[in-house]
Amino acid sequence: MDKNTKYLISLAGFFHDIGKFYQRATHIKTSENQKKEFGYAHAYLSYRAINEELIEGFKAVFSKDEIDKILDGVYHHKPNSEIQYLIQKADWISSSERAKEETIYNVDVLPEDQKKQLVEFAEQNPRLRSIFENLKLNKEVIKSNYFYKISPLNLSKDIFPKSLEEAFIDLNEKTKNEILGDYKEHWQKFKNEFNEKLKNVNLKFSEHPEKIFSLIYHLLYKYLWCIPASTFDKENYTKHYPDISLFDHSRILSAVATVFADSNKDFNKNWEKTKKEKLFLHLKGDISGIQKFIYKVHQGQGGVAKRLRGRSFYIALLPEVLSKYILNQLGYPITNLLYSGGGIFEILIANTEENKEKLKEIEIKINQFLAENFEADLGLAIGKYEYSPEELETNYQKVLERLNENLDNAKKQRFNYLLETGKIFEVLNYKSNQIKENKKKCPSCNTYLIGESKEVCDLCEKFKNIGQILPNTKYLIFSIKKENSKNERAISFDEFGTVYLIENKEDLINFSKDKNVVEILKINDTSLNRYSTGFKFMGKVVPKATTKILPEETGEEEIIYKDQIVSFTLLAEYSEGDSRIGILRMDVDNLGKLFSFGLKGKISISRIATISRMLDLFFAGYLNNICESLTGKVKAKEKDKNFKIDNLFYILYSGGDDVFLIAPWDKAIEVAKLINDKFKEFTCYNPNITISAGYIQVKPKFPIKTAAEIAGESEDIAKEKGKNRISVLGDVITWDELEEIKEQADKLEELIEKQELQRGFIYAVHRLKEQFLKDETQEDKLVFPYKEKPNPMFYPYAQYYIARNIKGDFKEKIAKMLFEEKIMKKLTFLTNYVSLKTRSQKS
Amino acid sequence: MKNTKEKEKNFIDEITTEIKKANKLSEVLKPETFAIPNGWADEIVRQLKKGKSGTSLKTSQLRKIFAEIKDICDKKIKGLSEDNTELYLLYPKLAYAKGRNLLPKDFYNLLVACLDKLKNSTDKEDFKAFEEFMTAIVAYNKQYE
Repeated sequence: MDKNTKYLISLAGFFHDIGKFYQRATHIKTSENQKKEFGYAHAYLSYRAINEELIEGFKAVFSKDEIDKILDGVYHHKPNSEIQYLIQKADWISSSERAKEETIYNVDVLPEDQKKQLVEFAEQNPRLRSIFENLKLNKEVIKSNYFYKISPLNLSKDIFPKSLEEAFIDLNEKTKNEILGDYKEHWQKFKNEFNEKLKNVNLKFSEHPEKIFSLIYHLLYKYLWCIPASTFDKENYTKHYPDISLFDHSRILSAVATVFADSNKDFNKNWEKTKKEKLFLHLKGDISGIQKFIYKVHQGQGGVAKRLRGRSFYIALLPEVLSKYILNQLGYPITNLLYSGGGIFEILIANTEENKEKLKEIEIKINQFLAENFEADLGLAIGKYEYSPEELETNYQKVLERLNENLDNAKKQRFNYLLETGKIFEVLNYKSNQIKENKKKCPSCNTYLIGESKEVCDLCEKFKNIGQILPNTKYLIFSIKKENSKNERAISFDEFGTVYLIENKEDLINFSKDKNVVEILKINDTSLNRYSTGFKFMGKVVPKATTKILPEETGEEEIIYKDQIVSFTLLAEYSEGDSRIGILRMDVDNLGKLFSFGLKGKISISRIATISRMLDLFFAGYLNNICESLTGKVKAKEKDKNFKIDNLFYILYSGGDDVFLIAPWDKAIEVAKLINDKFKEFTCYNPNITISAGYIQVKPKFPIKTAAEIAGESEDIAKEKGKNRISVLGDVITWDELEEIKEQADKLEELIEKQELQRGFIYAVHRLKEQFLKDETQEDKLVFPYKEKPNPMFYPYAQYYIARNIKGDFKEKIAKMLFEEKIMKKLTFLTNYVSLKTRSQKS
Repeated sequence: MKNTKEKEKNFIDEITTEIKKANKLSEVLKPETFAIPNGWADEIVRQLKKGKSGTSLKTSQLRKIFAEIKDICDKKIKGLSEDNTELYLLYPKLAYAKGRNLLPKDFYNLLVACLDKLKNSTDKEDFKAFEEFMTAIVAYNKQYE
């Protein structure tokens, strides 16, 4: 089947339920005849929405034939053409979760008379409910009917769930739109932007199918993310639990429909039989060797921060580029990319011989590319699983399990083809064989060989260059063509495509006209302009110089120019107290379990897709806001300081379900707390969904590779000691405790600053801790080993010290603080924190 | 005894009784009882400061006694001395201080009760317990200087 036909079927799937949105916005009544013709009111309304409301936009990019094909899809409830049959079946399969649960309102906390009112209110104002409230492992969840406001997607508080009871209590005519959002207004915005964008883009689908598809995909994402796919369905007498958005439902249906279309089966007759055939081929790709690869930045070469960011960015793009290449080679649209993030991608395609043949070739090519360019430091493993529509519908948990098992097996067999055919040697030495002169090791990565006359290897050159231009990059442009000319804004992935990092809107015009360009995405900004086809969320915040900074100021060799990423040494200067950097790694606890068991019997492809997408929205997208807002707060607080950087946070990586960032040591602790707070809010304060963090602080010149490893170990310890914790400055602390202990530390710090307390006190406490609280039988590596029961002699000694060295009123307060059991087992954090914070700056 | 509200009776005397009853000093002097805030050491100091016994204990006097006790105990703990001469010499020294009203009577009785247990002991733990007990008293005493 040709690509454009697949794309049109996918679009038909995407629009099949748009009538549900239209219906809730307009309350248009449907006649009995119309219902009869279309099967359901919303089907008729989908037809009408396209044919009347959105037609201007459609006509601007599609031909009449193409529009007819898309419209065909909306007859899915009363099918009489091939497309209609397969969309009908795709709908059955991908919305299988619906029949299983009714909408429940959790009203226990309200007084009797308000309970009924709340339910009525909720039914009159159907909103998307948060899926996070329904994930359960072993902790009881007190449900509070969290919902999402109807509003266009953007990285603001609007992506956070709100409690229905609170909304109900605060609600009046004035606040209604602010709290709930409004269907009618939302539809108007959608309609206007849809028509306007499609008209202005000035491209035809037949010539630029990927760009048009991308544009529509992102418009639908922007407006449909908050619309429930199904709620109160009068015609079916059902009350579906509305925790899946129309966007997620539609994109999954669209992916399934495209697979069906590519399967060459008859979806009219024999469904019971077809349903049992293994029509799906599910791919889960995993880039391995990422950690090892990123940290190949040899110290002493200058620009470590830049080169490191260049590497991590390249690595973040790699799965994007490779998954887009696979889709493109097989002629599938981006809806069949179910998920991409954190070095992983999932693709759904038809299980045909043709696809499998092509895939085999693609895999060989990709691994050859990785072996040639990175000497097999990086590899791609693809886990595959074939299954039937029935299995997707009834046992998606098994699909996920098998997929992960197969991926694990595939990881063990990376480069098998190259090894078996003996090609591996040829490939591994490919690059060094090209060098004719005498060879030396590249001093930057200390890995690859280069000619004697060269300074660094091409890759290091490339990564440094990416690090240079990244801070100002606003758009990512994906092209499927290899870039041959020397364009410093191009990151080439050879035949797999090129990504351009563009700053100015004006430069987009030429890309827009280029048929090889498939997507033009604005980073972390959902406002679409004339030439962009969508948006992309990614951790992008870095500390950028706001002015030229001379070497004298930083002690580095190089000048840091305006808008460049500053060095870690300079970043460390923005610490309070000692100038150090903090390295923070965080990720969601028990993610695998949450996916497989968290939904209990309610697991479905759409729900999994919803959870993954929402988590990525937080970690790849909203995390940037958290970093920016904390920077703003710090700048306001430390007004006297002359800030020469725009941001205090260096996001090395964030997305999927994890974060890796670097900041002035004290700010990294602060941001960890803030990320956790915001994440709790984002996940409805569900006690089953938690984050753990590992933190270490080092001098800015400390080898970053080692620091990253220790931070990783630190995170492992937090997980071992019960999760939902941060391992920080020698202690493992729950998030709630962190707040309390930091408060105490701040008090001590204040006393020291006012010179009412000697810094020596902190060291005395430290010594007493070593003497009386330490369990000598345990290892003291990253975490201080406290005795189960402290040696009671700690008290008189501490009391003596306090009596002797502390004056006046706070004697008792401090004694009370130290002797509190909660604090006593977190004294390592407390003393380290205060000691670092009160160490005077060099300058 | 454990109930500190009954201390009006004379807390120090009660502890002295406890010590006399015990087989070994380390059995009755336990850090978790005497070292914690509001434990024995803390309470003893509080009572001494009230001057209930007619005589108040001067810090300098307490430190002097502590220095001698610590010296004796350290040697025993480290196994440097088998000899009890210094320990025996403490009796007249304490009695002299008591006679000159430098040492409250109840506290004198307490110390003597401890020495009585120690003179027949060869267990380092007993000496350690006594030394820590005295350390805690000196430490808590610091608050009232």
